[in-house]
Amino acid sequence: MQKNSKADSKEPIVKIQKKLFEADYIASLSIATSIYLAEKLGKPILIEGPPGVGKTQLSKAFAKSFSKSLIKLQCYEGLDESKAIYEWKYGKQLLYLQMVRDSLKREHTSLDPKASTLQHLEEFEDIFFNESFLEPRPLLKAISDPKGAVLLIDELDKSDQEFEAFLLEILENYEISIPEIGTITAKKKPTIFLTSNNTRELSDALKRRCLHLYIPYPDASLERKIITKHLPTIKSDLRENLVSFVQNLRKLDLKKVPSISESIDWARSIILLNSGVLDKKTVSETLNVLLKFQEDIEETVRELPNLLKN
Amino acid sequence: MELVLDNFIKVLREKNLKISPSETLDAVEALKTVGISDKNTLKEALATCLAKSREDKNQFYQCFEMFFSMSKADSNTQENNENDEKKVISGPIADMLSQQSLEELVGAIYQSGNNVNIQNIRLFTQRGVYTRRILEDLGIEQLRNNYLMERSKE
Repeated sequence: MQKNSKADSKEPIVKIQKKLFEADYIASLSIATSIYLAEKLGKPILIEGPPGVGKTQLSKAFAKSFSKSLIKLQCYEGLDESKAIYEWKYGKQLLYLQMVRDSLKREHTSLDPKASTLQHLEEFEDIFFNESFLEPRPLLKAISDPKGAVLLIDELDKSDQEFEAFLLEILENYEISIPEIGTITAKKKPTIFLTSNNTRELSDALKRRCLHLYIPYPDASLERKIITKHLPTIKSDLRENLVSFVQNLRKLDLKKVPSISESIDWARSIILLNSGVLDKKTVSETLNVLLKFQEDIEETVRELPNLLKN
Repeated sequence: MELVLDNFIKVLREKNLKISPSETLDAVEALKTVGISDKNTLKEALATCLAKSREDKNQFYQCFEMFFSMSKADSNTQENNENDEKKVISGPIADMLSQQSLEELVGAIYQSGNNVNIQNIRLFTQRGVYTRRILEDLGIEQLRNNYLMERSKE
């Protein structure tokens, strides 16, 4: 049964890797496979991993390389429906109300008893809750994009559990229920990326609805590739030393180990400082780019002789 | 292949991975989508569907390596098995033993294990029973008879 699918199993995945590469993102096999499956199965991807390994960057690169519009929803504590899904345009509704009142006044100058006025009102009632009074927020926007957008729900672990429950409907069926109007279903399914830094455990219900991708810190060869992609002018021996330094640094017991984005920044600042080599002086001068805690910097300075030996 | 996947999921559940029926369905879809031609692609595809935390991923990769290194040997030998049975009188295991092809032998044992539903084994005391069943499935009787016949000819 699977034998005829031999040719088409790896090819599209390699293609995705190439496309992401053009958008300055180097995807490992696991990343490319999950994106391929997410597209094929029509499922959202939940991306977890330490900060700065490129979780958010992946969705940006994906949107860029497949030329789709990126809609971002940054999560925070207290994020609710009206900020994430939709809101009624209250001002516009008020204006409309005034217009209606004026026209009613004109028609009913000889203010006759309530019965007919009530009848008249009935006709207007439903128009208040009309799609033209709806202010779409990121989720609704993504659902109603006719070309299929990329929806990035960033740092989901920062939001409350109630909000997670809101999301389930979208993640499962790609639709949003608005009590006054009904259910709005996506014409074209958006590609949904959710990212989490694991500050709290996400619910099983949410995890079940998503494909799961864990992006770890890169190994040496991948990190070398990433740095070359972002800084093509870097000298190869400097790059070599830099990568092994960062890799060793991650093995130390630090409060926050450097991520890829920080090692790129570090490489950039070393190039800017015009020092072609990684010696004790350069490192201790620029260490604050790489490490964000004073204790970590002190610890590393102590370890410097060992770290620079290789 | 679905049966193999089903068994694999049983193994994962044994290792305390929480896998719901809907995730099993996703895994079946993923399997159909990527096929079985590339082991690493298959591994990553199943990992995204079945293992949903960092710890689960590690556990998953370990299980995958152990589980599918076996079934590969199994699919290679199945066909050879049938051919051998037609050609040689002395029986398939005797052939494998005399050729000392370990991989084929492991494959055949694995296949027999499947045939006798080894995955249902629960207690260590059942080991003997299942060993016997696997040997019978491999054709130990036939081998013994052939051997006795050879001996009596001599």
